[in-house]
Order: sequence, then structure tokens, then C-alpha cells
Amino acid sequence: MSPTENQYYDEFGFYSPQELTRATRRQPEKDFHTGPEVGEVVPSVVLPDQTGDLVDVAESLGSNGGVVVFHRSAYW
Amino acid sequence: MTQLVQLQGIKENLEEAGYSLFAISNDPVEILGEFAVKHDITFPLLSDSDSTVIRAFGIMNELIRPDEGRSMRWYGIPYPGTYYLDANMIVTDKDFHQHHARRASGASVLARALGEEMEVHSEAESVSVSGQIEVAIGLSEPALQLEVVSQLLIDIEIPEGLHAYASGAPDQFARLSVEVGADGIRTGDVSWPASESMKTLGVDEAVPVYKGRIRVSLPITVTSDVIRLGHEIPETLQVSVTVDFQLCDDDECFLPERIQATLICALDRLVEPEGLSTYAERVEAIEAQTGRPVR
Repeated sequence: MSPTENQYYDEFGFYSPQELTRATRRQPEKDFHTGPEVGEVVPSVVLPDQTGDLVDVAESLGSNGGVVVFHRSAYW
Repeated sequence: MTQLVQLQGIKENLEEAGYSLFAISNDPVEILGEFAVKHDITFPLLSDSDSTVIRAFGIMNELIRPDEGRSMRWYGIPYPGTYYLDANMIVTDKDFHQHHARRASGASVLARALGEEMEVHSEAESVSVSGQIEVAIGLSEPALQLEVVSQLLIDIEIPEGLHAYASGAPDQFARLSVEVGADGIRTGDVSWPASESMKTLGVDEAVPVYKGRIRVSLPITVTSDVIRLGHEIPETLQVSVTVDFQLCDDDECFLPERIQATLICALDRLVEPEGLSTYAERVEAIEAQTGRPVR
């Protein structure tokens, strides 16, 4: 089989051997929820970090604030 | 994952400017610990393993069912995005991506956090000079990476005493426009700087124009098309940029001109490919070792 066979293309330009109905190939509509809006306070975040230590984001912000990146996984 | 490695690269710049950096996923602590050691990540990779915080933000990907992709922990992942917070946890800006595999580059995050213009990376710069105008094209990163949204930066230097026409100028003037093309890329909307208004030749009303140096930018992403094109990821990608414009001074207009430039963009190797099987194997190994489920 050539490497280009058995590939499924989606509207975002992704090719993958997984069919578009598979979990990781479903994408939200354009107006999907993106959480708190500009001007709103975000929920409290107290979670363990990579060493297991609890981090309270509100207590750990810099003098000007912080950047919080939500991502799907470190590994995929 | 590539984005976390890029974010590590801007951590110090953010901290110097008074911002701290956090990443949140539903990965278990053990997976994050292993990744952090392997890739020298020193900012907090927070583990929201039961997606409590992701749900509290209202950004859990609800298209994935609880029974899907269990070893990969697909269920519970957030929609990918970035919040910029002030010191009181108030959102000052945010940026979300509809596709969960797409994410903002480190340089994009830094520029957005600091509200600064992005620096052109000299390794990815190309200058093209026509008779009167100088155009420099660059990238926000030294190289493009698959599915990471970088910025293509186009700096246009209009000589003193001359102006170019901006969007909204009457049809008799050729307005400044930018076209970008390449196989295997997607680009987003062009961001134009604010134009000035001026009275110009033969037009009663003020017309929007650009003067001096202007910065035009647009998001650029290498898609998985590049893999399919050559069956493996090429080392570089050729991006062509066409700039159309018409210059005028106070007395006369010159003919419309076109500058074409080519930017050879390096394509970085990805952190991702090792990930998929490694992840599933590690989840299973941790479970066997600890006797408790991490999925």
C-alpha cells in the first residue's frame, strides 16, 4: 500500500489514517465554548505540577499576571 | 509536545516582563514529570487528571465520549487555547483554536502577552527591493513546525514623501495587497496596521493611506499536507509572497508595481511522532507499577 492510501482528509487540512468519525477527528463548530471572556475572572486553579507539588495559579502569578495554556497532552 | 518546548523557550522573557507561565492538560503527574525531565521543562505543567479545572473553565472537548481512546486519555481534554491574565486572575486576552492539533507558537504567545510587535527571525528573512520600496519578509520563529501557528511578518518601507493606498481607497488607486502561496500551508487573515487619512490627488475626500514603515502579519501553519506531498516531511518549504501596491507623492502617482519574494522556511523536526505509542505504553506501565488506574 502506498503511504497516501487509506488517508482521510478533513476541512482543516489534516490527513490521517483515522476516519473522520473517530473521537480525535471530531472538531467543534466555529462558535465552540472558549470559557471566560475578556474582563471576567477565571475559576480558581489549584493543581499538582510535574513534580506532584500543588500549585495555586492565583498565588503564583507574576507582578503583571500570567499566561495559562490549555493543551491536549504533553505526548500527543 | 512541540508547543511546550517552544513555551519553555519564552519562559524567561515572560518572567522578566512580570508574567508567569502555566500549562494545563489532563495528563497524569507521572507523564508530565517524565516529559518535563526529557525536554528540560521548568515551568509548571499542571495535571488536571479528572478535568475538574477544564470543566470549571467550560472548555472540555465534549465531542469525545468517555469510552473513547482510553489509553490515550482522549476523554477530558480541553479545547486548546491560551488565557492571558492580569495579576487578579482577570482575562485580558485569549486565543483558542478550533482544531485540537493546532496551537500558537512560542513567539506568538510572547508577543501577545507583552503586546509587542514580533521580532523577525533573521534566519528566515528575505528582502526584496523594487525601484522605490523595500520589503522584508520573515517568520516569528526560526523554523515552521507542523500544525504550530507561526506568524509571517512582512515589513514594508515606504520612502519619505510617498504613500501607498490602504483598504477603503477609491478604485482608481491600486491598494496595497499581499498574497501568500505555498503547497502544504494554510494562512489566516492578514492583519493590517491602522492607515492614515490624507487628501490626495484629484479626490475631494480624505483617502486611507500608509506612510513610512508598516508591519503586515498573517498566521501561517504547515499542515499535514506536506507529509502527503512527499510522503515524508521535507526539510524546507518555499513560501512565495506577492506584494501589490501603488505609490504616489503629493504631485503624481507612479504605475502600480508588484514585488515577488520567496522565503525558504526551514521545517523543524517534531517532538510529536515519538508521542503516541510512548504515551499509551507509559500509561499502561504506570498502571501496572502503581496498581491504580491513571485513565
